[in-house]
Amino acid sequence: MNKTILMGQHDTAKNPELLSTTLGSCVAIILFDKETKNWSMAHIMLPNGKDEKDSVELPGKYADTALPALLKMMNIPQSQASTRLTARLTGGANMLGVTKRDPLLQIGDRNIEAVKKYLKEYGIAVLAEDLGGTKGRRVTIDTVNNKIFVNQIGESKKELI
Amino acid sequence: MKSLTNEQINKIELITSAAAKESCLALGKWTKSTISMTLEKTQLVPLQKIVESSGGPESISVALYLNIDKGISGALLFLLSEESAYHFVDLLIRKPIGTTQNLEGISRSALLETANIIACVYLNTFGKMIGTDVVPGVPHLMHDLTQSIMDSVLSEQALVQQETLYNEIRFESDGKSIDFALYFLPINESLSQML
Repeated sequence: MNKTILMGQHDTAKNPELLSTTLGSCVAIILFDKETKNWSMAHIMLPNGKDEKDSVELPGKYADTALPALLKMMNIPQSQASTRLTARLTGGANMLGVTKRDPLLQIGDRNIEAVKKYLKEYGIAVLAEDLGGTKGRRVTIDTVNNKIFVNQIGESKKELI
Repeated sequence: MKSLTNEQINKIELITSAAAKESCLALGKWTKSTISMTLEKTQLVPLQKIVESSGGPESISVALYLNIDKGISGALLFLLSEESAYHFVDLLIRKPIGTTQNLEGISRSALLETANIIACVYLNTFGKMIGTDVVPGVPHLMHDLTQSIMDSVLSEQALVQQETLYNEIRFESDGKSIDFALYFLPINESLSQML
């Protein structure tokens, strides 16, 4: 079964499912549970959402609310997160030609920074990342082979190892 | 964050309709062809809904994006399918349709200049009708996955609002759809204060 998440959404995937999303400046946080071999992914748009009214309906939209939502969906208590989970990150492109003079608008960079901060707080190791640049990405989790693939226009498909 | 009332949205629809007509005329003069247009209903839409309707995961587009520098806050986005962008460049540089196969050099410049011209006409008309100068910024070209483009554009909007004013114009050239859409994406609060 092929599943797709859109901006702000999050979901889990288990063998034999495929789980995909398409990213620009947003960041995908991908978690793998070593115990169950299940995967999860959130399509994060913004760094902070605790005070936003849509963070209850769309916790995957914000870096600070996405991690608790993914753990809940995977049925993993926070106390076991650091031993059971590993993370991969992708996305965070600067596609709009925003310059370093506009730090507030460099959403990709801010998303990356926030996601890494929260993963560190949970003690979850980041095993691989494909971040930044100026191109969009299509990312797919292949749960059968336990691999992640990233597609970018004009480049061959690469594995996020 | 103050949003827009129904009355304001109706007013914006009238104003953007006039701006779209002027843009359509300018586009016709610029391309030396007959351009017609269709206007979608103006409405407030959650940001995520726009991505859902913007094309499948494999869809590739060419986008010309520019922030509005003065008058109101927001952005304009011109979105063309890859095929339409090449077709459009051929129209602009007077080459047989099918000649252009990439967006480098003059092709790129031609599209950026198109965005400049249309944005100026659209925002000038808009500004006149609300009694203020509205000035476009410098356009930026993207040639990428449609959903990635929308993801980046809407993330910028998401910094300040969860819904955007969905105001889409589709242009046709000599009766054939060129799949050229213009999205006016204002920051709702800034527009609300002007109306």
